[in-house]
Amino acid sequence: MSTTTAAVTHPTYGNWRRPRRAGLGRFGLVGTIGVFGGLVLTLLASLISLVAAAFVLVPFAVLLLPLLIRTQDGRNLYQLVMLRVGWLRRKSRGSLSYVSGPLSQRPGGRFRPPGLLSRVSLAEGRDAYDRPFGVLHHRGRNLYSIVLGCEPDGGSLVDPDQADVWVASWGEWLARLSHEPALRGASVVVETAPDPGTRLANEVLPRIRPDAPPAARAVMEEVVERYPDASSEMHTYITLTYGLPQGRKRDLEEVLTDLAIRIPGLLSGLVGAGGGSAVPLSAERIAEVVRVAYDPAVAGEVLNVRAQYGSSGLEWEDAGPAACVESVRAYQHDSGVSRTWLLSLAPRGTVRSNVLRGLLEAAPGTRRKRVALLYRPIDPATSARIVESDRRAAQFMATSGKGMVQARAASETRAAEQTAAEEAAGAGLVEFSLMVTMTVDSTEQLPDAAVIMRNLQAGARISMRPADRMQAAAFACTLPAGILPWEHVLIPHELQEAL
Amino acid sequence: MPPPRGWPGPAGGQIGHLDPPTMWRATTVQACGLWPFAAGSGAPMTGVPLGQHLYTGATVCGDPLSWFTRARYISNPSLFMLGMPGLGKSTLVNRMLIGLAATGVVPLVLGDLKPDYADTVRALGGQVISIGRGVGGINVLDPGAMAEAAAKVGGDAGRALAAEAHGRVLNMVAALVSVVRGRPMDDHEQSVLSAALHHLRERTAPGRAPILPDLLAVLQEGPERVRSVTLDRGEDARYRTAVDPLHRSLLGILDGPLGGTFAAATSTRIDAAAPAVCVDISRIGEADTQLTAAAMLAAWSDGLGSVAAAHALADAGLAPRRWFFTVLDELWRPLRAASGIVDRIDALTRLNRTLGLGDAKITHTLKDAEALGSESDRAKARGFVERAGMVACAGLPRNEMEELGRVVGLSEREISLVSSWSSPPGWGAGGGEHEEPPGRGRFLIKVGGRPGIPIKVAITDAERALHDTNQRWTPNAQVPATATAV
Repeated sequence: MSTTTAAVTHPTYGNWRRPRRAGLGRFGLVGTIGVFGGLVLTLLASLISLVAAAFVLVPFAVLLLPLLIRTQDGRNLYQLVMLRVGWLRRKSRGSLSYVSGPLSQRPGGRFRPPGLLSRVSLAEGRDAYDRPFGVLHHRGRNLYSIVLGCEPDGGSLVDPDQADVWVASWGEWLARLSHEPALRGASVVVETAPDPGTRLANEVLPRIRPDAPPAARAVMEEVVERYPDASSEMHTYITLTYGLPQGRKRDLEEVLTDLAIRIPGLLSGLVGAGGGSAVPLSAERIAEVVRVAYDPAVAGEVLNVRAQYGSSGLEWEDAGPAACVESVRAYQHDSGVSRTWLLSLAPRGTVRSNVLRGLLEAAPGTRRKRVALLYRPIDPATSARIVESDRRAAQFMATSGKGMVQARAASETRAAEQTAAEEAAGAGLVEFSLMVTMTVDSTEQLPDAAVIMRNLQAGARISMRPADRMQAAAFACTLPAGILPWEHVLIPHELQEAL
Repeated sequence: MPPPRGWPGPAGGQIGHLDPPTMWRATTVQACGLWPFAAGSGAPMTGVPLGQHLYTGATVCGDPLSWFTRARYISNPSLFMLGMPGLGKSTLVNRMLIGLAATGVVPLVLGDLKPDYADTVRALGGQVISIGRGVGGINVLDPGAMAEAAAKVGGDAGRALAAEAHGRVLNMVAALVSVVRGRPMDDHEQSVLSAALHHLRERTAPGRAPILPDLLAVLQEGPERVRSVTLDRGEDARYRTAVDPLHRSLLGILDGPLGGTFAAATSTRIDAAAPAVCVDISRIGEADTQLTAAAMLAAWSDGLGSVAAAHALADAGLAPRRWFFTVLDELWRPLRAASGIVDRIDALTRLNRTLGLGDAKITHTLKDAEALGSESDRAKARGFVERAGMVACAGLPRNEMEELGRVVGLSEREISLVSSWSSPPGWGAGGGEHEEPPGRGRFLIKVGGRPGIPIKVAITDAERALHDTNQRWTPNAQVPATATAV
């Protein structure tokens, strides 16, 4: 039996590449233009005098050299320095801490989420099945996000064939996103936490009859008390962020109607992709998720209140922390300390579809863990252009180089050809990334979390770097609140590719 | 309104520009390889808490009644459980009994063969009825709770219930006769029996239940009502010819192996108002198939009669509505005992929704069904698994799992997982207290075509004291005080 199953090949996945414009060596497109521009200017200056040439050459060299110094994942010295400068500036201004509530300077005296979430407002609409769904409006960028909650069965007990079908359907779902008009990005957030036990208590205790046999009551109470220690809970959220063209004004009602129409279609594909039954999250649920992320200690209480009264009554204005402090390596918020890691290298080589399982499953020793997979779908027209230009570049490299370069160029060509074939067969292009936030109870536990994280990323065959000096922002990105990191950078991502 | 990156100034929490994570580009047929649903997050949380999900650690709750009534995961409130001995099947069912009893459901163990449930039922303050030679019996002619309910309800509903009670007694006597004879009763004998029972009920004083010798006396006397259905045309000889075979069989019941248990007035009647009921037939020897079958049939007849009576009373608004949960452990034994039981369980699996009754059927392997006498019985027994809303597997050998997979649809991984649980523990570990089989307390719960939920049952200290199926293997010094007191 086992020999026959081993003989069947199951698809592996790979061929992901870092989008980068070709350039001279490590320079990138902008650097290359800079080098040639500098050389031309130097030559022109050398017509005047050698001293003038030196005067032109030296600043260019100084400006261009940092582009040569790069980290493993392609960030250059400028980016690193800019991050530090920004950090020092914020530190000197005292922006590293945040205080909200009635005693703070925040208008209204409420507990608004800080930083990237401070301009977000939350509205609610009703979908085709009359279910409420929350819409996060990111005012500055005019983006609207919806959040879907789903309950996947997981791939651990289904046959590999079935899992392959699910994964392929997930790919189709992603491909559909690139046809979704005005979709700016999507994320899947998988959150794990120890079971606070309130869900169990709310399921069991209210149902115990007053005249129940004392022995039965004793056993049930013992179960309610003991089970949470060994249990964990897991939530999967999918956020979709839509943009409106800059400057175009649409009123909220119109946007809500538009989104309500799209929800059933988006949900339908998820069951087939192994996502289980999916429902949109109401505004209140979104606020609860954010609130609990900032203050993990209230997780049980929120569940409790919801179970008792049907709703928690939590509003977005109160979903933030009362106080938080950002430090270089950590982000302290109400009752937790978090650290976030960012993807630097996607799995090298090829992987099976269960590669992320270890990373997604509950990690003992942490208070909460959120794994966010970020997707930036590329529209079909742009995809076709990218694929073609990649292929041309690869072919050019293959025909111009020789020796060792030749072999590498050949594999580049193969990869580009494969991408082109897949694109032609109907697949979309997507850019993806990954962020992981771990929350622990105190700063002392952070080194342990880092060790756990190192093991997890090794298991997932990816490499990640801590989001140092931007922990607050990174924390917000792993919340199911529709924050797309590439929308909040200094240099637009189109230009970033060229750097 | 704050600026896009938060409030400026001290304690404003403004953030800097992001240095975003590296974006990677791939076609969607490759990017989907980083599948975010690889670890499941869903675990049912409705019902009795059973244990933890083996992979995600989430608490799993479930029982056939809650999944049928509240969660609507299943269309039929029944559980079929399979697994090798000693892996904790009855422990899990005991947990369901306790959990359901806490919510007001009445557990009915109609024929506890081991006994696995008597201690639990006793702890719940329920009624434990022992049946066996010299221990206790059941009066099959007692219409029991149904007749009482019929009198209370009154009117048309009461009359219907009384008729139903009569039918139940008739069936029960017929079943006993079949057990003794080893073949079903003839049709004309049934009508004689029916007439005799009617007559008997009319002449018995209210408040007293007739017993088998009374029925024999009626046949002996041959009142007009009984005579008329035999077409005796006034001739005593014709009447005798018609009733003699029945007469002989009933005498056989009285004097034969079943007599002591079924002829006397019921020692204890099933009390549907008790928090739990257990009919303990463990005193009957395993080889005594006739008595086992008869006792189970009688217990079922009486138990289901009580259920029907409770519902009739609730329909009439005379009693609060109660749900019931029956347990059929060691299903292979009753199945083999008598053909009639297969039919009864078969009827139960189809009607349990209308009866307001959830059930759990427990057996070792699917092969237990194969050991039945007739092909139709085998087919019916196989149908139990197909119709069960919820199937739970403890450790089973691989070939058994493959067999089961043909009925309920199991993936190769599920088969490997469950078959790994049936392997014995390692030799080494010195035989300490903690060395237990790898599959102990592990179950795979299947509902329809969905992937199974693997759970590990964690029992509480209170339960551990209650439930020990290895009691007879406990050395003398460790016999718990409660066991000696019983």
